[in-house]
Amino acid sequence: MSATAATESMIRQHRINLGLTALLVGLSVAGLLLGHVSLSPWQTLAQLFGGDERLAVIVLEIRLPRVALGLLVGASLGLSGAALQGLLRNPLAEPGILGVSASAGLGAVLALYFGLAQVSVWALPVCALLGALLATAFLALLALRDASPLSLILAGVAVSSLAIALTSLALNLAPNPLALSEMVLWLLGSLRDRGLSDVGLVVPFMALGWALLLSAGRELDALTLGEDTARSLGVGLGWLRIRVIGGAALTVGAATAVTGSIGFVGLIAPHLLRPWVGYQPSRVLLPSLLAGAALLAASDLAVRLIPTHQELMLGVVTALLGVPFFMHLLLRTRRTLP
Amino acid sequence: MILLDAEQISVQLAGQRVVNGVSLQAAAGQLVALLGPNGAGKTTLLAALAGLRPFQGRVRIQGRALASLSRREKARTLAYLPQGQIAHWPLTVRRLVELGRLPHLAPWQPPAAADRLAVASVLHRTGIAELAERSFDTLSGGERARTLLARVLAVEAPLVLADEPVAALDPFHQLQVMELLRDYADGGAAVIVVLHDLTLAARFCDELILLREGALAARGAPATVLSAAQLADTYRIAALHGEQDGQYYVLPWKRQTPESAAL
Repeated sequence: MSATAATESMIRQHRINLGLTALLVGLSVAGLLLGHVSLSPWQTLAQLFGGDERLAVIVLEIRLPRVALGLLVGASLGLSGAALQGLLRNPLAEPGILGVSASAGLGAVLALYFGLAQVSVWALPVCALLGALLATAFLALLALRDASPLSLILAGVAVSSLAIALTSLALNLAPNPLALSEMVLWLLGSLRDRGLSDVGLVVPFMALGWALLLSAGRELDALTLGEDTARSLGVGLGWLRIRVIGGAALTVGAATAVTGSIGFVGLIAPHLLRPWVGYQPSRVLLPSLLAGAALLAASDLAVRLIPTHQELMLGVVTALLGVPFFMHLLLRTRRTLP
Repeated sequence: MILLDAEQISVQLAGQRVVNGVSLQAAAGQLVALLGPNGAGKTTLLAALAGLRPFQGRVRIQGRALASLSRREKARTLAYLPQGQIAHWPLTVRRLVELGRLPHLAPWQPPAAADRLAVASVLHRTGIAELAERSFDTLSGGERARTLLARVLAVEAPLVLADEPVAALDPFHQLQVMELLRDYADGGAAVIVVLHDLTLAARFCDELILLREGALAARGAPATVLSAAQLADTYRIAALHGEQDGQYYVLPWKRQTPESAAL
């Protein structure tokens, strides 16, 4: 009976991952076909074999990068959220709480403020990444000094506040209304008008970050029983903190660098999945990655399909869709946050 | 065979010396109690022996210096149950106990047959096999205590350090936990357990180590360590002593007042 129960939970885990993957494929195909110009699968297939050039531009140069970035960014946010919640043993932890997103945002806004973004297309994402890395270096320094989860969270909130204050200062002193609106729009988060070069820019950082985060599963499991027990089980806490915080910074820094701030996905994705996988931190990681990607792909699809005279910003939509759903979830589940 | 040999252990916490030059040994098959009033340094000493607090002195495990063991070797040799352990996520009993196998797992590999067997065996021995698929947060205090103990025993380490494993348990479960530790020691391991209950310590342990204000006050067989004079000195209590079925027992009875001490 014990063996069957263990096998059943394995099968369940595979089913969840398969189901989420199928959902992702569906959303991606929809993302490629739907939009201002809706295409049928046949048209899309036809143009792949050298048909209409106009359609090729729409699908390959406009929609493909957008769909790919949406998946990558959502996956990064979901995975980082799950890993950080495991590391800090705090269900409120999310990439935003460490100040990494806000610091990346500051870097990007400074690039816009000083006009660097006009000099080179790489200036903005590179500045955003530098911002994220700076914040991470500070947090890593703290993590190495045996800081408690609470002091890490406090430090993150402080970094975040500082970055937001400096961002506000840049907005405050904006040279002209155009620059101001450019910065504000960027901060709201969007996948519009991104190219394959943006995908190429983020992939190395995200790949490294994902590897760091996914490798931490068992150590995060051990942390379920607290830090002393985890250490007695052979976990090196300093190294684990560096990997998780560094992994989250790489992925979320890269994500913020190309899409602006997109909140809430990192918080909600692990929460949605946790009860389904028995709350074990290592088992939450991969499903959260998939669910984060699905959430962002669905939100972006909504952004493109909801007819408004100006396209809605993605960061706004994820929060507008996510928060009421999350509140409903909190009210419905009797169990308080574990 | 001496499994744990600690010499002149001193620990400072926030600049204050909490443990002061304590030496102790534990041999295979021995259940050793670490006793002392609140604040005597028991928990700190145990954590230092587990390599979780910086200390001065020398700790050798199976003849090798603690510091020379790799993290994984140390984790396989020494299992540690902290005081007042909680689970941050409501895992099932089985998955929580499985955490004890982490030091044995090969990277990226699922638990091997030996790991599953060890978990099944320890679930059975601790009497929680029927609870295996229950969520930890739905368990009673006694069930939680057994689950956490099962996690420690699942490591199958030759040395077990347990900090107050019977705190807040009813007498039935206190006896059950002590029996489990006794059985584990009888199987060839060395077990050091921090206790406040002198009766249980005298009843189940081979050797008692009594701490007072961070230093060693007494060490030896229960009847010698828990002598009337020692109890008066260290715990400021008087106790009933006796024998039942050829076994020595002690029962704390009266607080010592300044007047009675003068007599």
